[in-house]
Amino acid sequence: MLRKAYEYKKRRKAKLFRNIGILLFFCVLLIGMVLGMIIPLRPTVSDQEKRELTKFPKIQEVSFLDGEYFKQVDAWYADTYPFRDELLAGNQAIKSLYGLHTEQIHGSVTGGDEIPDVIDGGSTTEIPSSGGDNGSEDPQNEENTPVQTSEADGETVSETEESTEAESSEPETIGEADIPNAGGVVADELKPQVQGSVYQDGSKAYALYYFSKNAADIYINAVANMTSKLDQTATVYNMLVPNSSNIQLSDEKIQELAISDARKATDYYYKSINNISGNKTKTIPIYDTLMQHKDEYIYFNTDHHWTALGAYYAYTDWAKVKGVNAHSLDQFEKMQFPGFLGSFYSTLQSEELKNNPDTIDAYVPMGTNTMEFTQTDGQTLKWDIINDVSNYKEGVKYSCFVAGDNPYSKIENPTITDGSSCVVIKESFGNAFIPFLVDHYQTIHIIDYRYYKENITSFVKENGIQDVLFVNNLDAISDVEMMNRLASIL
Amino acid sequence: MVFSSLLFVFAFLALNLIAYFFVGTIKKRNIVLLAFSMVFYSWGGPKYLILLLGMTGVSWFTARKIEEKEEKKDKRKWIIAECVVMLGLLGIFKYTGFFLENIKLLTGFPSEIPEIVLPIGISFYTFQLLSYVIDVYRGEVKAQQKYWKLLLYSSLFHQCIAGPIVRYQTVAEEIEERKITYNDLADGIRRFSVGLAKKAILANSCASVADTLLPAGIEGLSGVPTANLWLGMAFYMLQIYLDFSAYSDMAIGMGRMVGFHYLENFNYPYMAQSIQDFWRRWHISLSTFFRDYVYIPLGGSRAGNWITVRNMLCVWGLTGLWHGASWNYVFWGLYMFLFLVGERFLYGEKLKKIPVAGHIYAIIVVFFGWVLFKFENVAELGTVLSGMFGGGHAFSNPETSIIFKNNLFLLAFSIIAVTPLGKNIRDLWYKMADTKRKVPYIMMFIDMVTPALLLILSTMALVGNSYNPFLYFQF
Repeated sequence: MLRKAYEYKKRRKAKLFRNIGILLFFCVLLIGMVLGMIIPLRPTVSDQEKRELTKFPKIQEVSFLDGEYFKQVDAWYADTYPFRDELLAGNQAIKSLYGLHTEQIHGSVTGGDEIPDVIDGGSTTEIPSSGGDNGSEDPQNEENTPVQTSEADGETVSETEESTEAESSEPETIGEADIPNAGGVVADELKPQVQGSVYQDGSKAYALYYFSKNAADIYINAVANMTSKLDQTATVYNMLVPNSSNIQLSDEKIQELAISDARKATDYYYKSINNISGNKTKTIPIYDTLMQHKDEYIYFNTDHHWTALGAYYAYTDWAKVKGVNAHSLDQFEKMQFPGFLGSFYSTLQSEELKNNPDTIDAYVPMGTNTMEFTQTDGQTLKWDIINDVSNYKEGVKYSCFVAGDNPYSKIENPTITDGSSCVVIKESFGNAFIPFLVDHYQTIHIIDYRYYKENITSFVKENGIQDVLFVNNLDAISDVEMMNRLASIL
Repeated sequence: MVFSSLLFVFAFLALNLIAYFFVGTIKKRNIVLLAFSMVFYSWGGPKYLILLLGMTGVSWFTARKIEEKEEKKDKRKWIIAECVVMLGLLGIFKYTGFFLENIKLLTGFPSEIPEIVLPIGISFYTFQLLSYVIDVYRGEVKAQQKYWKLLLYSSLFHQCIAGPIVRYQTVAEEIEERKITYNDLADGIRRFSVGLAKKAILANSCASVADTLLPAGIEGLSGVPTANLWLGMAFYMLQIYLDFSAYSDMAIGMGRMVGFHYLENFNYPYMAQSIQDFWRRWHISLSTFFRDYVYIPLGGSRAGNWITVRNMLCVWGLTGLWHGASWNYVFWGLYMFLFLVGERFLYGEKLKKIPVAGHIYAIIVVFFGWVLFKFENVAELGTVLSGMFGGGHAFSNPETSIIFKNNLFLLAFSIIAVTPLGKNIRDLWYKMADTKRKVPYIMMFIDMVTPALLLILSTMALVGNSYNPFLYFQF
């Protein structure tokens, strides 16, 4: 091509491309501006992040002159921008290009305290009950919170039974509307976050267990003391549930990630408790049993809890200690809830986990599937022990078991009339376990020690309860602050 | 308001551009810019606007006085007054706490140190106003007769709160009269969107990796393995450049969109061949400020070696102090001073003779410079430095390799982003097209879609990003 002709053509084309480029940019800018102005399009909660989004600030609440007010307007604008979840998903896709994500760590690999050796039986070792401070975290941010609290706007109590029917006609009910705005439950509680560090290997993640000596000693003393206080009144059972990291990771990985030895820790807890209580506490050693089944689906991939199957194996151990016959799994009616993306997913937001959602198997108790629970605001609701969570959001499906985490719940089994009763003191690991107990007691009281405010020992005495069962995850009881709370209500 | 926020991009900037292009005359356009600048500045705290208005008022007044006076002596009085007021206010707001703390350390008094909040951008606009009045004093530029036009210069949201430090000379004519060509508009758009993406995607991501690897506080840092410290500092080194240069890119880009031509503030500083070279490429508007208003007036390098060293010491002590009211910044300035003196008098020439050595040397010196820069707390600084060379820290932990692998491509891409590779490829492509006389459609197409695409990508990144402060806001 001739130089002149080429120059001419290039200039013309360059102009065209340049002008289209300018136009494209301004189009995006204008669309962004218009979208930002359409207030009704703005979300109030993020499903992806499981939280309530920033609200528009009220002028009298924050100071205006130093810019605090505007800062919050900024935050509100960005936080509630239309199509937030879609944009976030896009960003997540970009972030997955940052590197190789077959392995990920969230939080830090701190290592736990050294686990002391305890000599079996005999002398009552003095264990200091003072609490130190070891990686305590806001308890509110942990775990699954009840979804049913959420069942809309607070007029729920009497309507719950109908609401089950209502749900079927309105399958989308469990959406944004179920963020509890009654009863003072804040959105933070809705975050099914994991409290400690998380390690992800491929399509499965693990919560890392780090032993805390201070927390352990508070727990040990509290449980042993309760046993003594209830001597002759009730039998105290204690079950400690290890994390999947302890059961399902290889020994090398466990060492590499400085994970505390759950077996040794369990030994420390059990032996110490028995040394103090004079072997009166019945400890349930489930570690070895779970180990035998380590290749089965006993822990979720995308959530830090165990599955009902894992809980079932633990239940058989409990039955042995209690001296009753465990029911076999096929005796129960089984419900399945696929598409569960739990706490690990909401913490890591990883594609690998998203592509490997969990399916929750739940076993409906034979005697009854009805329970009632009291919310943090004091309201009592009737609910299903195994609740159909098919239409619930992917992140909250673990709440299918015993209505999730509530301060107090109660199950009456009409097919048993011997007056037998027990109280289960638990955090969310207990939820998957309790349904198996239903067919062994006339009455089961469930207490989540994180939210319950009364004294449990008096509760046991007043109600003439025969069995007290602690079902707790080792990692969850490694928090000094929480353990002080537990000790204060036992 | 920060540039890399959705509110800024989709509400403030969009409305600003609409209003700007909607009104016709240059006067109205200036009023639009001024009004938006006032809102922008107030956003960070309306009460500090008074300070900006006042300081601009003082400078406007003294500059006119200087121009009026015939006698050098009289001019001098006014320039001294200007310097005292400007530097005095900067000193009060920025250094009172630091000064009193040190007095307290030495004497025990005063027992209580007042907490003074640093008004946003004061370090930048003070220097802009100073440069303006000094230039008037030197007769290099005419004093602006209209207060509001000077206010437009000092408060213009493009550069008011985080630089570059634009000289009044640079924009004096453009304030009165400027033309916007389509090429300027296209260049401005490209510059702005590249800056936005650099900040929202790269700098923020590097920052979050650096923060993971380098936890805050002495307790957290003392447990960090050696390899993590090095890797964390590498990410920090990338972050600080990407972050700050992104802000300059956006400022230059927005200026260009409306017809202002600000000078470049960065020129690939991590490609420097020496520390002197580095400072010709890093925050150019600041180093030229100190060169023109401190170093040269003191006699520069023409009055013998000792005077030169003294002058350099002055400049680098001040440069350090300008970055923050804390000893580590002073150390950082003096650290740079040592190497600059070394280069000037000892090994500068030798370094030039060995290929690549200069570059490696500069990178290493700058790297450790950022370690000094990052840790305001001397104990933390000590922990990190000793930890980087063993110092009782483990070499690595499982996080090291996982975090490295998780961010491998981010690291690689960020490194490429601090080099002129992309720019060179683009230039070469266009040149090749010219020699072959074939219209470079592919490159043109890339240029065409890049701004819009980067804007979309940045939006996605900003939506999910709670982590967003510009590093240079504290200065």
